[in-house]
Amino acid sequence: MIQNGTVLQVSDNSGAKTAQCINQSGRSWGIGDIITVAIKAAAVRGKVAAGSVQKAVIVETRKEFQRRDGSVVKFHQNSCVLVNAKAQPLGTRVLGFATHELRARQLMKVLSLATRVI
Amino acid sequence: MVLKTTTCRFSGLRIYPGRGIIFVRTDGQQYLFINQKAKGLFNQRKRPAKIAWTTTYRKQHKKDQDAVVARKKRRTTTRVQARAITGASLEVINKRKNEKPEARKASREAALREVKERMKNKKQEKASARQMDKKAPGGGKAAMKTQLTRAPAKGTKR
Repeated sequence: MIQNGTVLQVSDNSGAKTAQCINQSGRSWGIGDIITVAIKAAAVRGKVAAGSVQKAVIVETRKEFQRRDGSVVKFHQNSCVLVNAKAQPLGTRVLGFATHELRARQLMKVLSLATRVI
Repeated sequence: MVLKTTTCRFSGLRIYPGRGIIFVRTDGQQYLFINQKAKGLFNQRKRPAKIAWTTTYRKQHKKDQDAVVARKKRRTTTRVQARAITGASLEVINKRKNEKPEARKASREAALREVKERMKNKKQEKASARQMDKKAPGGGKAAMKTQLTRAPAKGTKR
């Protein structure tokens, strides 16, 4: 349930550390959605600079989501992976979790980079 | 249909499909909880061994042990035959018990051969007796034929 103003952890090696959702208010987004973020904190020599505006795909949410088999999954943090306009990841590694929900959103590249998949 | 049930990390109870919550921590650890009760207590950092309804507590306090039947290993005792029975004295029993299987088999075969010999001799006697009858004007040809046909049948049975 990521909405305007939510601060997310960036779980790839693009250089960014935290990103804030700057989408228009009114609704909330979940795992697999692509949102616009402003990078709040970034490593000095990373691919992205702090203060820049990027697109990101949400990979982990604290709000639980349900699957067709009835199982409910809930993460400990809100996390995102930075992507470009064509939904290709900017980084080369995904350090956190990725879920199979990304498969339905045609985000196979992000899923394939992840080592921890739920 | 085989259902795969998981166990609750906190309470140890079985979680059927469609129930429970999977909580994924940042360090990668996954915790399965059967319901909000277990999950809430986990968040409060309560120890399952101190909560009375969890399996950890019950195991620690040795509850429900009667249901689990402890199978005692039964020691097989070898009974020694020390008394004689009517029909066989103690020496005979011991001799038969300590007899080697080869010796037993040999004695059995000898007995069987002896019986066969006896039966063969008896048959030969009968056949010769009938030959004598044949020479005498006792039985007719039909009666003779039936007697002769009977003899070979007996022979094939052996």
